[in-house]
Amino acid sequence: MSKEIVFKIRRQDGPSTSAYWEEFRMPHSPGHNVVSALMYLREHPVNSRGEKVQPIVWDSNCMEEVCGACSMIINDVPRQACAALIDELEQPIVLEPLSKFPLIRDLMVDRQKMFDALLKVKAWVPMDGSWDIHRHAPLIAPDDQSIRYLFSRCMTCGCCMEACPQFHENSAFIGPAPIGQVDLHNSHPTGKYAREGRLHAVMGDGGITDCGNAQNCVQVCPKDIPLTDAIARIGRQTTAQWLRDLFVK
Amino acid sequence: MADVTADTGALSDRYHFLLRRLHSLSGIIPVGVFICIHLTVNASILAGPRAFQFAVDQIHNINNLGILKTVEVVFILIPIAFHAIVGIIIWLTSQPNVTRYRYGGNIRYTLQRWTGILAILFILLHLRHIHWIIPGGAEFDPHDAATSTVRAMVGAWAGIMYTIGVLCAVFHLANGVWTFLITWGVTIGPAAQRRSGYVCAIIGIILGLFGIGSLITLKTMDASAISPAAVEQGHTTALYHRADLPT
Ligand code: SF4
Ligand code: SF4
Ligand code: FES
Repeated sequence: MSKEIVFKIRRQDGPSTSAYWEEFRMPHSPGHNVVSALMYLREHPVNSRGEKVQPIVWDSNCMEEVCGACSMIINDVPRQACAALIDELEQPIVLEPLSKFPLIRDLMVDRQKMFDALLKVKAWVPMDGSWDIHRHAPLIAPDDQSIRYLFSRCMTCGCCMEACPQFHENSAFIGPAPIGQVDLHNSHPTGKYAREGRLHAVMGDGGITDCGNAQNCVQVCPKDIPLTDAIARIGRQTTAQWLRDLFVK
Repeated sequence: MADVTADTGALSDRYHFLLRRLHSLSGIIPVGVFICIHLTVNASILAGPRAFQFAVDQIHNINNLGILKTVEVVFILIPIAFHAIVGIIIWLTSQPNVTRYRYGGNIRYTLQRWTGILAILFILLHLRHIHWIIPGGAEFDPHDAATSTVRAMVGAWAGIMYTIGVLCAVFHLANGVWTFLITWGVTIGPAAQRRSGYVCAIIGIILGLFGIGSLITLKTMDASAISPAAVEQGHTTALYHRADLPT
């Protein structure tokens, strides 16, 4: 094990300035992950040429891979920095910000697009009705529970969006994660009452039809969410919805 | 809070869905079905000029009703043009990233786009080469199918163009069937998608062998050695309306 940790970090001082690479070296100690190493560099903001520089900016919060804030590209893989253990990474460790979201500074991006998409697809279970919705908790078969549980773990981290060749600034595609949430909420016994609205939300420009079946999303999702199952299921549900719109309404 | 029952789908948005679903469907029906028939008819040359003539006659028989050209335009050329135009729009909205993400699915995704574009170019060249819709090309004579096709296929560029074009079209179709099944929600889980992948691979390999096999046969056949008797026999086994045959 090397006595040093070497980082190559893609930095950018602001949304409209140009990017540059900067190298950093720091002493190795066991148990570091990328976020804790970045914290050390924030206290010692000196690059490998010995120049004192502006501290590196990044985003993180939970430190246990559940909030999704610390997503970045680490050695070519989009993943959570807090869960990337230094001792398991090849050096120099190359850090880049996610490329599909507006950059704020250095490794920090604005994932607002994803939250907007969740709003657009109505990714919640409506609780206000003219009937007493809390009378008894709806029953869900254990098999369905275990599938739904997988989708409930989505932390809007953006890794699937980052890897998707159909999701980028020149496309309207809402990306795989919100489609997974449509599937999750459509399969809920109470949530399914609002399924039509969710399906219509993914039937327009930028909706389900803009997926190109590259299946990168399911490969990179750190929570192993079966996104491609959801995409195919929503493909089926939207087809049925389209026929209902045409012949029943 | 947003109204959960509100319908966010504007009318233009609905056409988007319809257009993309029609794009997916048109790739199979009629375009995919046509390609299967076309390559199977071509492959009959492997059994000799007589079998080829017989197969060609089966198709050209519908001209007894005088509708062959109409059928070609309505059921083949227009659907292909539609599939191609929407396909180009889809191609323009993709940002392939195979260099970073070298997964099988991603490689197929990228190939699907490039083989589509190459297939469009190939089809244009193919029509220019031998189809009546673009006049001035080589003459395909349905009354002497083998001789006229062998004559048309002379030259290295024809061999190269058809090999690349046919393989692109076949890959695009086989992979297109695979994604069609996902798009329409037939195959949902990874196991089902793996199994449908095997089936599509077999379809692709068979069609590829048909295409390349007929190309090799056509390239190695000597047009002057094709016996008129064999062609004649092909005709007699078919129901071909022969009143307009040159005497
Ligand atoms: S399967 Fe669809 S959503 Fe997933 S990465 Fe591919 S194009 Fe994007
Ligand atoms: S589906 Fe997976 S990769 Fe995508 S945002 Fe959710 S947790 Fe992240
Ligand atoms: S800090 Fe929350 S996922 Fe890494």
